[in-house]
Amino acid sequence: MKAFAEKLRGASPYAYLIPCFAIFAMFLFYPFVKTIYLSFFLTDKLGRAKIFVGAENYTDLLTSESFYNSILVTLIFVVIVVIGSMLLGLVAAVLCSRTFPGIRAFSTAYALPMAIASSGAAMIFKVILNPTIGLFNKITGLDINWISDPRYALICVAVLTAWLNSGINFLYFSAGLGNIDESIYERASVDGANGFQKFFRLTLPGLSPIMFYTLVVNIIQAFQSFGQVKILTQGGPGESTNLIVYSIYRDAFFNYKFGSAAAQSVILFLIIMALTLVMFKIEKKGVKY
Amino acid sequence: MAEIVLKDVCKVFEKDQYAVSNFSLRIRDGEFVVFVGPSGCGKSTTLRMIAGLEDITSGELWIGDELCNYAEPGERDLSMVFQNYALYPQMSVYDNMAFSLSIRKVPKKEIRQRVEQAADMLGITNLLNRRPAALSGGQKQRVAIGSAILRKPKAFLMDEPLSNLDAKLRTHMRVELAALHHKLGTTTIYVTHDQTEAMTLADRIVVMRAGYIQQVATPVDLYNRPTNMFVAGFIGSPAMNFLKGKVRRAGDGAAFLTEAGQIFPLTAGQAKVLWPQYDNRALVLGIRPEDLYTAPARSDRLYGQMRGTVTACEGLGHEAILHLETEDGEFAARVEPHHGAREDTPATLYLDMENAHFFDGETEQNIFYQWRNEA
Amino acid sequence: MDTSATLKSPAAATLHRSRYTKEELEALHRRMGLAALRRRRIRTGVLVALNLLMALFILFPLLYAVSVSLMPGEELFTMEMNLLPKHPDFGNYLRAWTQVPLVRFIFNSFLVSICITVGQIFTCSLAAFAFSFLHFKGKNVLFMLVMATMMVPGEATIISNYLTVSSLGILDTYLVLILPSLTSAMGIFLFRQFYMTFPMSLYESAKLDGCSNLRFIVSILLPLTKSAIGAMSVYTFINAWNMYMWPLLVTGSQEMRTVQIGISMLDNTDAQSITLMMAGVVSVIIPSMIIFIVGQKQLIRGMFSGAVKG
Repeated sequence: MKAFAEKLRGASPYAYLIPCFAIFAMFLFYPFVKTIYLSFFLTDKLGRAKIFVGAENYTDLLTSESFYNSILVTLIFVVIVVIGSMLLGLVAAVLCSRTFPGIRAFSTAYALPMAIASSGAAMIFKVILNPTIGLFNKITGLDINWISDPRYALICVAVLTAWLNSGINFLYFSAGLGNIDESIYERASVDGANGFQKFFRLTLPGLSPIMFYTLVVNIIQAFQSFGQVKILTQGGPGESTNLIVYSIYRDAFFNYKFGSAAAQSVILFLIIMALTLVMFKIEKKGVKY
Repeated sequence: MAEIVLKDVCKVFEKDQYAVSNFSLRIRDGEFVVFVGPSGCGKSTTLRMIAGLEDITSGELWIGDELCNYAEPGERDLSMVFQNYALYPQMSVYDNMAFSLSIRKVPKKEIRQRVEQAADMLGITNLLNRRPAALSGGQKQRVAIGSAILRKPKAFLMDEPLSNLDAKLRTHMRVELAALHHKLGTTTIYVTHDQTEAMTLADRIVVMRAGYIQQVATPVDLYNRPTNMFVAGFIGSPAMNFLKGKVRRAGDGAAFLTEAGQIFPLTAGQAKVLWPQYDNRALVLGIRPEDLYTAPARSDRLYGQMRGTVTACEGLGHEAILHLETEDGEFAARVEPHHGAREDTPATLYLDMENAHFFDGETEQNIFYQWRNEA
Repeated sequence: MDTSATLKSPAAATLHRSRYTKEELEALHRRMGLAALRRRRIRTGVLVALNLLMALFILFPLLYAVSVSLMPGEELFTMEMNLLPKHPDFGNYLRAWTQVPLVRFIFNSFLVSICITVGQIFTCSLAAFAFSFLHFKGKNVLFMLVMATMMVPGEATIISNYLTVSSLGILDTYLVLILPSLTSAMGIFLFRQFYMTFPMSLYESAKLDGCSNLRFIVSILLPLTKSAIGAMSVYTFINAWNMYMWPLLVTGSQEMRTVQIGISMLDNTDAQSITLMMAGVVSVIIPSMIIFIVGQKQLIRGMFSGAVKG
């Protein structure tokens, strides 16, 4: 440690970047390249590249119904999660934007889901959604096996994820609301605007910069959901909740098809990158600020 | 347009902390009234109570013939210009100006016509498609004023509207505001801490301190007949000079004896009021810088002489400010540019006693305010 | 107060008294005052009620988990509504803590989370310092590279990472749990955003006083960025505590499991174990929840005071 400090003192600016870039190199840049490399190979059970197959992993995927299914499922999932979690966060933030007795406790409650692990949350939902003893069926009077029914399983996982992600959205939106100049509301009051007009014409547009940032973060985060799928549905029933990330996990660690899993990873990365870039493009055009 | 009457209006924020106390004022239709005072004096709070942005703790607020204490801000039909302009950042200038009309569902055609008319009046027609972020401070201010006038409200409320502008622009906008008021004749309540704005814009000025009204008067009256030491010292720049002392018998009349022992003669009228009623009571003599001369100007006036050392001469071209150190403290005098005094040299200043003010040393009230009123 | 205002106010009063008698005026005051008060009360009431509903909705899964964890096994298995335990007891907790080595899991998670948190603060503040105060070739390119890593989802590299660590033979160790998370682009970004708010002259004057770079970081920069460090710590700790996929892949033995993997061992749909499982889940959520509640203010102040302003 001391020797390291000694070295840093006299060293060039690059020395300060060594610790973080060493980690990045080993666990991000190198595996990233390696993933691309692997995606062109067939591998053995230990994940060693054995046979170069060119783009075959990709063409296999692109002709596989299962893969299209998992993309479709992922897209539906992301849409539900992003809309749900942003709506929850927004409603909570708006409810907490004007002060009232007990506001501190409420805002803690709204942010709390961000402190909860996907695995723990999934286990709780498993109980709530249990067909015989689960509270959800008891409250609604329905008799549905939520998790084992391919029609509902995806929605269940998505709602759970929306709930988990709503906490940080609450914080984002609260910060966004705090950045809106209070006096424009006062001017609007004097001008005769009512609550709805203020919300739709001042608050929502005023949130648009943070809304965009939150949207990007939420989409990326939703794409990466794993723990809740693993615990709640294991990708099933059938393949109805086989999100890409789960599919990668299954292909690599159950089917030992590392090459195909790597190809899926690359495609996942490309999708996320494309979405992010498109959104930045749209933002540059749309939100003039 | 309407008359606005406040009667015994109080604002209490926390237990027994009065931000505004017993504010009573009748603002005539079409009048330009300026609330002025140091920060924290309650002038903005009063304005915000009129706007409906703060609750009125007690008292009555009448706008026109209606008791408006409990009306929502939007029901009062006033428009307000804020210190930071409060433009809606994501709307264009046009939409900003149209906002108040569009939420009232005024027909689009009429909105367009009124926005264009207001924009034309303020010379901002070329800015209508821009966003507030792309405007300079002065332009933002014009947009804010434009949004206020196009609604034709009962009154304009302006909360330090010029304080975010630089000095030159402030002067310019001040002149424009005066012209605008002349043209529209709308009742205007204007809050500022800048006495120049107050003096130049107001029909009447309301001077406030610590939640209380100190004086309500026209600018000229306020300058010439301040009701107490606070008003006297607050209005005018450089501020009025104050000398502590007592009244003494001198011959047939009386004289003013300062703490350091300088003696100033009093006019017959002053002597009559001060002697013997104020014998042995603490008094303060107030004299404005322009009533100090380097030489007695007219033979028919009564002058008091004050000796001291010149500490600084500020030449302003058309006039000069002399700063004098005397045994009774520092003095500022506004004199001719060719005064001949030099720094660090002794000098004698002549006080035009006719224009001297006398304050009760304890209550700080202007003794002659009441007397002159009665006269 | 002897002012012209008070002199004028009686005139104002008479003006309106001519239209309203004193009694009428008082009645008017009272009526409108009451109406306004009622309106305000209703507004606050509605706001509080809506908040209560929302909070109940958000907290419902947690509250229910706590409730179930306190139920004796047989109480859960009814077709009746059973929101709250009729005979609450801590038996489930006792059994959960003895049936699986929860203490060991919690210890592992704490150790790993703390190492990751400290490590990230160290690497990220060094890098952020270089990016905001030093001049060197390729600074912008390197910073862009760091920012670009945010776009790479962890899952896209997880296979190769797994293969790397397994070929290094460090599977099933603390090292493998900690090492990949020792830095983060997000942390570098956050710290840099904070450092940029300090004027360059802060650094330059320290340099003129003969202060070394490292000393500048330790004795000037770090104390000034307490709130950013606080925010980072809370955020990183919670994320590390909640890690799931990586520990799932790289830990095999029971001794090395973190809490999130460990409690899945309780995941069993057989009759008795549901209440047991909930007791385990609640036990594991509580530490991260406490850290979050304690650090929430820091988190908000640090994360949003510069980082996310449009």
